[in-house]
Amino acid sequence: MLRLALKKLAILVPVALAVSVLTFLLMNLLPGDPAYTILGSRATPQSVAELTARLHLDEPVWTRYSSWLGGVLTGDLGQSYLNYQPASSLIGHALPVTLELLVLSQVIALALAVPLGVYSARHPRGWVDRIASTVSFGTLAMPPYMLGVLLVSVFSVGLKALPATGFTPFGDDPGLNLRSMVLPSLTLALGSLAVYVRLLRTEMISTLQQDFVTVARAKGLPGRAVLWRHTVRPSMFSLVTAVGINLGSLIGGAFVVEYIFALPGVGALTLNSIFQRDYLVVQACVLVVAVGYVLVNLLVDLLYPIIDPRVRHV
Amino acid sequence: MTAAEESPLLRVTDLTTHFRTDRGLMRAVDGVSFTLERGRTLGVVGESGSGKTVLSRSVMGLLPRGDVVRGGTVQYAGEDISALDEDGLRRLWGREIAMVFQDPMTSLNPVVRIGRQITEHLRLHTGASRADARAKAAALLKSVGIPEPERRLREYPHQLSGGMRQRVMIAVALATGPRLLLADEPTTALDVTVQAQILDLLRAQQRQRDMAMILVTHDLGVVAGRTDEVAVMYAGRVVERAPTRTLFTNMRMPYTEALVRSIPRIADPGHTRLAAIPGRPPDMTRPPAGCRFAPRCAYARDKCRAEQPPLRESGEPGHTFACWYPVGTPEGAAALERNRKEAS
Repeated sequence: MLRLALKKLAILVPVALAVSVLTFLLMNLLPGDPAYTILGSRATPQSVAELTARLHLDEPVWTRYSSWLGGVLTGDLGQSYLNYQPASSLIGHALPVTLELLVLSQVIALALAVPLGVYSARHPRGWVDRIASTVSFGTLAMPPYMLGVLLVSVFSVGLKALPATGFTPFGDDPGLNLRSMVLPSLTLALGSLAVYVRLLRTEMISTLQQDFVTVARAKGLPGRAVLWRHTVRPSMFSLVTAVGINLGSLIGGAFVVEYIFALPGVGALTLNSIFQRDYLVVQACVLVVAVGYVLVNLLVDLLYPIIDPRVRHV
Repeated sequence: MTAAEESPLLRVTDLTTHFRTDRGLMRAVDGVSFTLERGRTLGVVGESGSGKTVLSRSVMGLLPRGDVVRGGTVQYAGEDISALDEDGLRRLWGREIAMVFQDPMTSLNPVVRIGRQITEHLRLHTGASRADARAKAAALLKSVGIPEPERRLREYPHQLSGGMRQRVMIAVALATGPRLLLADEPTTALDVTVQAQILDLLRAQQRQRDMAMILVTHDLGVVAGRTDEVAVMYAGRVVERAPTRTLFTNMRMPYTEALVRSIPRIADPGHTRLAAIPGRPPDMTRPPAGCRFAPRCAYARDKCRAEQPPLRESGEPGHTFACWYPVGTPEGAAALERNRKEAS
């Protein structure tokens, strides 16, 4: 177990290096530079040159990369060109928002997917199954920006039940915070829901054919023990895998939803920094996302042996 | 003596189980009757597709939901259990009637420890405490021949071999001290060397506990010497039934004879061809009009193809069969002779 964890953790180093090099190169290829963004359109060539020199932007890419890397290794992620805030504190503010969004969205998705998947598998082609699969495929086919806007028009504009945009930190007012998170989490959740329901339904239908389910019935166990212990539990593998992959990609992939709902998360921070050519902040964001992705995958890998004892002894 | 104690443990009367399929009604079990006394063993023998597995499940009421048409009655200790719904049957399942399934590799839940799989219904039915149930489970594992039972209880199914798993399944079935054990091809999926061990274990436990047993198998060799009586099934019906010794020495039904002939014999000279039964069992959505074995039978005459023979007594105690031209009778010999002449 520990060896597996260490082995997976060791992957972090090459992944982080490769990702940071690629981001550095890509950002370098983008037209425009931070000096212009900071000084505005009326900047003189002289002031631009001065600022460029001060920010070390005149140095070759590899020099800038190695000095950035040196900083990272000593715990300094660099600072914003625009407001001189350290990137680590910018991320420190943005990351909790994104994490809350992720956790809430997956909790909602699973809270809907497990009962729907279980019921659909027990009554395949029944009306719940049909409606669940139609609706969930609808939400799957709909891009998040459309789904988000649709939810806003129903719940904020129509019913005036929930705020459309804005964010209150959890520490300031948990109630308001949760209200502001409902629609964005739901938007993300509905995107994952279809996949989760289908995966659980398919795996459960094949588990229901298994002899050990009949054995469990033949033991005279009550229906709920047959269902949960002997059918749902052995049917969780593909669902757990999917949640893991999803979490990993959502760490950096909630951009659109954060943008629509004006949530100050990592996605929004990354986008704004790209627009403003705030290279070092982008760099820090991408690094955090990459590390997060690897960590989530590690977590899922460590979860497998818990839900499937067969993995423990391979 | 009360009525429940006087009546046989199991009385099955005209049991039918039909499945609704896309191709029509599939008559898996089509009018089967038998009785089984306490502590006795019955072997049910037939080819795959003869309905023997469905029969054992139907006796227990353990059938898939929906698309099943059931008929006839099953009386367990004098009580008609064929009319019970699943909630009513659950009282009997695992407590009074237990089952050992065909494939031990798929009969155990891969994500639940062995110990839990033996104790879950034991605790449910007997109300035993966790510690008592565990001690009982360890004793059971020991009695079915599993060394280091304490360690095995903590293990998962994949850590055990096929033979071990079938022993565990037997322990699961025996845990609550059932009065009727249904063993559905309990050794088919096992290595030949393990088969005899498992069968002998079942026989020993059955005797020790004075438990009735129905042993379902496609292999006549399995029931020989291990059962009191044998019922031969073909195409959803019992075609011959007799005390085991009588069946082997005095079979009447040509199908039984064909089954016996298809057992390889060590005494045969080398390169003797196995007497396989030609053809296949009929499509049970469209069973033949007369005797269902007629299309494959060496004795069959026109009467066999037109009229279904009823089960009748052979004269020996407890021996019944369904055939117009029985083996070992002048009519049978004549039919065989005429068929041979017509063929040549």
